[in-house]
Amino acid sequence: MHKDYSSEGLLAFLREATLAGRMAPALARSRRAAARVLFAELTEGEAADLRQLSIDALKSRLLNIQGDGLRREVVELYAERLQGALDDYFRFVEAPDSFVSKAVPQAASPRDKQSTKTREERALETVRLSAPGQRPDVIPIPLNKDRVVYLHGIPADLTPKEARKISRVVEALADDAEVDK
Amino acid sequence: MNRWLFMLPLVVFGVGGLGLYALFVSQADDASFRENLLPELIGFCLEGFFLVGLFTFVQQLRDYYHRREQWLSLRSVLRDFLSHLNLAFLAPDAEPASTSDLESQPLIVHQLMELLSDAELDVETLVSLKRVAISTLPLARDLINIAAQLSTRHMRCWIAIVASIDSLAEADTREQAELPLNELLVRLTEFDSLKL
Repeated sequence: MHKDYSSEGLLAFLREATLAGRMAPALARSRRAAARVLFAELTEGEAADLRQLSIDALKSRLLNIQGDGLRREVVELYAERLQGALDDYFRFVEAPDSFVSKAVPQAASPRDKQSTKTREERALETVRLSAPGQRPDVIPIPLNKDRVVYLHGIPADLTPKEARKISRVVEALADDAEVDK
Repeated sequence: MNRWLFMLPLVVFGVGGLGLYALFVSQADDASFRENLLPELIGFCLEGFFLVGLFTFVQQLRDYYHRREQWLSLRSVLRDFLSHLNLAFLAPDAEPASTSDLESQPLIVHQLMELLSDAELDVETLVSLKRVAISTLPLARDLINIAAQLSTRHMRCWIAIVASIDSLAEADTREQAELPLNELLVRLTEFDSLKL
């Protein structure tokens, strides 16, 4: 039996899933909307066989082409929804009779203001919030309690030879009097 | 320049035309259109009224669109903040707000303020908002002169918004992040309410 893995097949599956009672209407609707937006940048090969589709590559294509109209965080959300749709669709194509839609874990929703937090939760929040302020291209090296040296501009593809060269420069800056003691 | 000053020639031509027309009608007879300067003066006033009115209207319209473009430029800088908040409060399987709505609809800011007063954002959203604040701050500062071109009140409001973004970028705890975030939305509401 011919198995249809095309983008048209997925959209038809999402359209009929609600009528057949295979999926909640809101879920099917949101997945279809996500698929419609993301499928705008499918190649012919991907459209014919969705198993070839790399969602990460599709996301980057969309952000490059429609960066002005489609926001990064919305593309991420749509990609999650499409991934869920693809998982369900592939399982449906493989075994239509035994298909049951998988529940998707929802992102953490905003909590009530009155809800209390443990000390650990608060500490974790503080750690997470202080992280974005630190520049990723500056590497702190603590020498002792009061002395921290910062390395800046270290390339990502630094070779051991280059690292030794840097270390020799740093060694040349050291005070020889300390060694004699 | 006061925009009512543009209306002054219209008033002069309008009142002058009506006055001359009243004078003409009051002494009208069979020979009124012959050897009489009044109809010509009335025609001159009518031409002046319509031409000046038309040019004033076109000028005002162009001015408004220019100011609207500047306003949208400023507003679009804050889009990412609203976008992250919109997604944070998004119901499961609901559609996120469109980009154009986030950039130009004051109603969305009101809705987000209400949601933010009742609920607490998850830490991931706060981290995202802080990242947005760090990356947006230099641009927001550079655009103060654009806000100044709109009006003094727009500039003051924009400076307050920049201060909120600055505080959010420096925040290290939930309390330090939530306060400037609330302030940012309040000041954005004020900014939206100012007349262009």
